[in-house]
Amino acid sequence: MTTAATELPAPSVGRPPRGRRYRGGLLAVAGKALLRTPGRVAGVVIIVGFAVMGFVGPWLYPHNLPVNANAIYAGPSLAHPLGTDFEGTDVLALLVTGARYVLLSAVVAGFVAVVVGTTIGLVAGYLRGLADLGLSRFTDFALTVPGIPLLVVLSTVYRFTSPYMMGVVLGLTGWGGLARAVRSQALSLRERPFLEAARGLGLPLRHILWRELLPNIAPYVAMNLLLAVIGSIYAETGLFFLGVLPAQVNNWGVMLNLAVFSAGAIGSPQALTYLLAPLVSILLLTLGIVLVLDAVDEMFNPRLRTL
Amino acid sequence: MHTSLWKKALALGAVAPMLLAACSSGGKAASASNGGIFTTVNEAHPITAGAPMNPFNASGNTFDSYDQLELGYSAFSPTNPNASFPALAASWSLGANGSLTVHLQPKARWSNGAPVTARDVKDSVAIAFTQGTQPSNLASVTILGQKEIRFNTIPGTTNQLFTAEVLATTVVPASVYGKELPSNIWSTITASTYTGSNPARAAAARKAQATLTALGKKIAAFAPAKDVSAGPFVLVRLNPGEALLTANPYFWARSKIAPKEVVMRNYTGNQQIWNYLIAGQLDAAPYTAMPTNVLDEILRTAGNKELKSPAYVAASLAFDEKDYPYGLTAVRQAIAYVLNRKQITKVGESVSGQPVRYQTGIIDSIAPKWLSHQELASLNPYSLDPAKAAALLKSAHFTKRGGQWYLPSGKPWTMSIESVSGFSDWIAAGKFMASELSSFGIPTTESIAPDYATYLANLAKGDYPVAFWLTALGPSVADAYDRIWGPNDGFVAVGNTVQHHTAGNWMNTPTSYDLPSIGRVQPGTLTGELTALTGSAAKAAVAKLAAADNAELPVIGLWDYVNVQFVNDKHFTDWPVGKPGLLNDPAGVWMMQGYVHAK
Repeated sequence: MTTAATELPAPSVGRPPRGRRYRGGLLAVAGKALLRTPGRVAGVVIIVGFAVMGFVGPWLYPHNLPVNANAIYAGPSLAHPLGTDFEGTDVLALLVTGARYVLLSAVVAGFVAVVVGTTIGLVAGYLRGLADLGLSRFTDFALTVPGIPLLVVLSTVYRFTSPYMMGVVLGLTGWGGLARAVRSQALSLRERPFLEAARGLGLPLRHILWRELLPNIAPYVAMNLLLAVIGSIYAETGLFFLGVLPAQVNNWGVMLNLAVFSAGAIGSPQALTYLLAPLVSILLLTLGIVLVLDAVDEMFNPRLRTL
Repeated sequence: MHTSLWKKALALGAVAPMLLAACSSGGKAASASNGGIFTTVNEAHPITAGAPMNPFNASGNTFDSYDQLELGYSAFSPTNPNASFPALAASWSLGANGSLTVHLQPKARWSNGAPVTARDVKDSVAIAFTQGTQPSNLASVTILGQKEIRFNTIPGTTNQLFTAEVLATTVVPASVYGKELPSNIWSTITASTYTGSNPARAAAARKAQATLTALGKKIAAFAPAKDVSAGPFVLVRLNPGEALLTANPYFWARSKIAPKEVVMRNYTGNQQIWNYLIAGQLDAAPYTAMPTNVLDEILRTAGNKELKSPAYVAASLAFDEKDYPYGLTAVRQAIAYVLNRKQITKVGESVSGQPVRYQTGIIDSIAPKWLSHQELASLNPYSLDPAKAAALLKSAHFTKRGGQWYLPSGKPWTMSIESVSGFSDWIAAGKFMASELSSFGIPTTESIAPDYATYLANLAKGDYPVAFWLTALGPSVADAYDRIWGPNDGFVAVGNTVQHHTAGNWMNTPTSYDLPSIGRVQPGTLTGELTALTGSAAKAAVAKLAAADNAELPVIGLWDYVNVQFVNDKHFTDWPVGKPGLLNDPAGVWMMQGYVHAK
């Protein structure tokens, strides 16, 4: 998984006075930004919907979903709104119970990629010198590690039944691009007067990095978090779809794999809902995240807020 | 799962069929209008670009019955396992001492114009010894003439399948492969077949066997510069999408072969073959597992026809009995009572599967030929009965708490069923079984190996406690039981002697059972002896093996396969309809038998 690089926002001329950055508080600013356009509202609704599905969904169904060999590929009905699969299991139930793995691992992957990438980028860019040299070379190395082949190799010894482990591996293979971009940003920001002042005041490195430098690149980091989540969803569902990871868990990628390679959904309309259900879910979730992205930019960028 | 050897498949994305169609040789629509190009898929394995044109290589790019020929091909007769269709062997006769004399096709020639001779056959048999595929009690071969060769058995041994095993020899040109064989190959072979008690000769035999094994690896890796074929076709071009074979001008029965060219489409799983069939792109396709919805789509395509014939193979769930708790008979029996074979078959193999009725180790359709009505009636059918399963587990000190079964040690019992990517029937059935077992209280998941080669390698390493396994491979009952109490269980027959090894043994069943009904049975030994038995003695042995299988369940039979294959009559006609034995052979054999004509 590779974190997509977004266009860097123009660095602020100076650090906004702390405490007055979010008039009315961050939540109020976020609320305004998220509700400013119908598109953003739709994005929020989609993301919240999927989050609820992933959190609550598995509790709505029995741990072992019922199978029924007499209802194979049953069409949509009240009992089965999205039909059934090759063993007569409700497709909606599969979709809902499979959401948790996908969402959890994607969020973990995005979080890991952002934390590691941002930390390494900030430290390398701000400290320069030997630290920069070492961390930059380490980043270069991380960028050369092919994430998907690595996962394929790892799958021979580990079965990735835990979404957390899947997320950690995806995150650890996807932070390189973000680290590079954050380093560039930090190199530019470190010469700004407010950071020179911070250094002059003898503030500790930790304070300078996290309280002075980080807030200025927060929009970029936040957007990359969301993009990393999208990338992780594609990566993990793609790996399960291709069958390179053992299909021991129920998730949307496994559904796609079984729909295409075992159920013949590509050539048979009977299995179409089984194929389309996870596909449409992935598309919807991606759409929701994309719709929310510019709201995030606005939340962190005061100049956009005034427009 | 795919193909009449019921093998192989890999995972791939759905775009592959389009890519493969795009890189096909082209011109099918135009050229095939006269029946010139016969399009099919290789039933043994997919195409591996870069693999040698060598039939002894696991991924070799030669195609059985097209550019790779055996002496003869099995007629898959349920009553006579030696019945065969002639190929390079025009005729054969058994001698009084058990030897077999084979007369080669008088006009058989290689694609370079050289005649096929007894020397080619002798070198091919020597290679078979290096691959471990030689007839089990073959001692030597004697060249009687340019087109005549005798196969001699180890003195004092009997093998009722000797004819079939000899005729299954793949013949390669001595001019290409001969230089790979050392001059002392036959003395090494002779030394390797010693099974007596002389320590010096036994040590020499082990050394000779090691030499042959090493030579076998070298030969399997050998890459001939070009294809030299005695079959009706010769390979001229190969890419990752397909192989192109053209007619061999020197083939002895050229007039019988209608196609001028054969295109072997590559595939990476059943789904890709389904797409070819739905698009009407294959003139013939070997057995391919599929769900009913796919079958319906295939039969909607103009020209597609379904041909059915009996198959001598079953899908089973096998256990590695060294892995606790699967070495416990009560556990295997309990699992059998939990699995609803009728529903499993409906989910996994609805088109070409019949749920196993008797647990005997042989397919149900031939069981009445070997077992009396009384013997069949005495077998446990293991009908769905979760209560019995629970009682069996409790008797083995398993406990159930909170809806889950716990091992006698108090640890929760979880299970994984191993399957193979691309084997759509196994995957669907495995997932269904996992659901059934989980609902019963044994949390079960299905794990899917990336490809069949990896699957077999992991099985051999003992990595899979519970896995799919093909059983009942016949029509010979000796072959069928060899899948259970044969090399995979450590039993290796040398002549009529059966040895038990740890190497290659992943099933790890006990070497003997004490059964209340028939007393002590040594199934591995009995299986090895079965090839030497006939008539009532063979029936008695089969009755014991069936009873042992039924009582101990080293494997749980799930469904018997039916050979469902497809032909398309747009370009060719005269398929071997109603010839069940021939339909089990690849389409090149159909052509050699005079079937398949251009429309």
